[in-house]
Amino acid sequence: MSRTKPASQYQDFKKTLLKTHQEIQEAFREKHEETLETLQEVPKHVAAGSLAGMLLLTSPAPSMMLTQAAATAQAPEPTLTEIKSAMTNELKETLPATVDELNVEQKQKVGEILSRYFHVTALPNLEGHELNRVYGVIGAEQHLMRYPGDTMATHFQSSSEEKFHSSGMAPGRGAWGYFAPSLSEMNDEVVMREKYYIAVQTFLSPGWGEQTKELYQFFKYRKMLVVNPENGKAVVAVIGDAGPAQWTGKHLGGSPETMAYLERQDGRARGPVLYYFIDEAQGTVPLGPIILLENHEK
Amino acid sequence: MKNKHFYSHLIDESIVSAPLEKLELTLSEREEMIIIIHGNIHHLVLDLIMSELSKEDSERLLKHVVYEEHDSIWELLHQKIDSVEEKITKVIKDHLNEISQEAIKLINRK
Repeated sequence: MSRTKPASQYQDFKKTLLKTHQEIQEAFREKHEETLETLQEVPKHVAAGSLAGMLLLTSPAPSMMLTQAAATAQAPEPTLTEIKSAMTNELKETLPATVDELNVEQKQKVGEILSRYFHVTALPNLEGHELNRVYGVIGAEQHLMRYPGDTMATHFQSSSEEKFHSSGMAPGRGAWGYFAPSLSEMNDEVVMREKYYIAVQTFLSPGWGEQTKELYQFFKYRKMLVVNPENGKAVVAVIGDAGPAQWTGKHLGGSPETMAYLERQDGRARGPVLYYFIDEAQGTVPLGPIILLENHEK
Repeated sequence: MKNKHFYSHLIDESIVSAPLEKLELTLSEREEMIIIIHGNIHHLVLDLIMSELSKEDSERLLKHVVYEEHDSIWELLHQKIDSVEEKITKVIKDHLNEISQEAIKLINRK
């Protein structure tokens, strides 16, 4: 699985990036030299050296790290493409040819594969509860009102998010109501919950008729690992709504951001995803896109 | 990214790594590239802001940055710079577009 070609894209691209980095840094220092030099009285315990040094230390890419960056030989590592390919092949060997519900053995096996590749604990059931399926066709959902008065005009924080504008907003609230009681109580977690949510068929989950209240609370914002088994892309999403109706032929729905990242579409081009509970007993997993084999913040 | 900067909420991490998607990189190589990209973004954002502030305000800003006083940073920025979030988002987006173009050039060359 390891790369053998000597002149790698990594080396070429890194060279380009480092050159850009150096140019940006030098331009910054030159342009703001006077300001940087006058701030010598900042206490030494904050960082060593000049303020320019402190500024670099607050930068994600301090110079010392760059000079240590891998020139020395490292053990060959598989590329992410190769890892993704390995995972999707393993999934392909386990999943049925059509998008049917998995049997117990398949569910366990898939959970083990996903846990291993994404460094999370991915389970088909959690705390004695489960959904009707873990493998199903995903359709597109709209944006949800996060707080009373949230509209498409107020929904996006930056212009780069406006590509999701065309998805529109659902006319009613999600199954669990507003994500926050008011605009002033919005925070990053609320933003991310609405951004990366899925709608699942809670009403078809085992025991729903008998334990409705308990299951309603259990499913509310429950973190799920949602994986496109064809390209290996995955997000950590929350259960944010109930649906879709059975007659649609779809088994779950994804927010616009979720669908975009997973590269899943609705309509004729629709396809399946895997959706597993994430057990956070060992630590929290952040919402949003999740990369194979990456360590997560706890 | 482990360190949360005052502008981090304006960045969708999936956009930062998007230019790298088509390159043949290992996990550690990818992480390294992302760190460098974040370093570029940090300097570009600070340059943008400081270019619109007086010297005195730039000094105040930098102190807040070093001490990670995000609320104070945003109070200053909202007082002194119009549409500051849009400007920051644009400078980040422009830089990521440049990097994407470089990545595409590299792939096409191979």
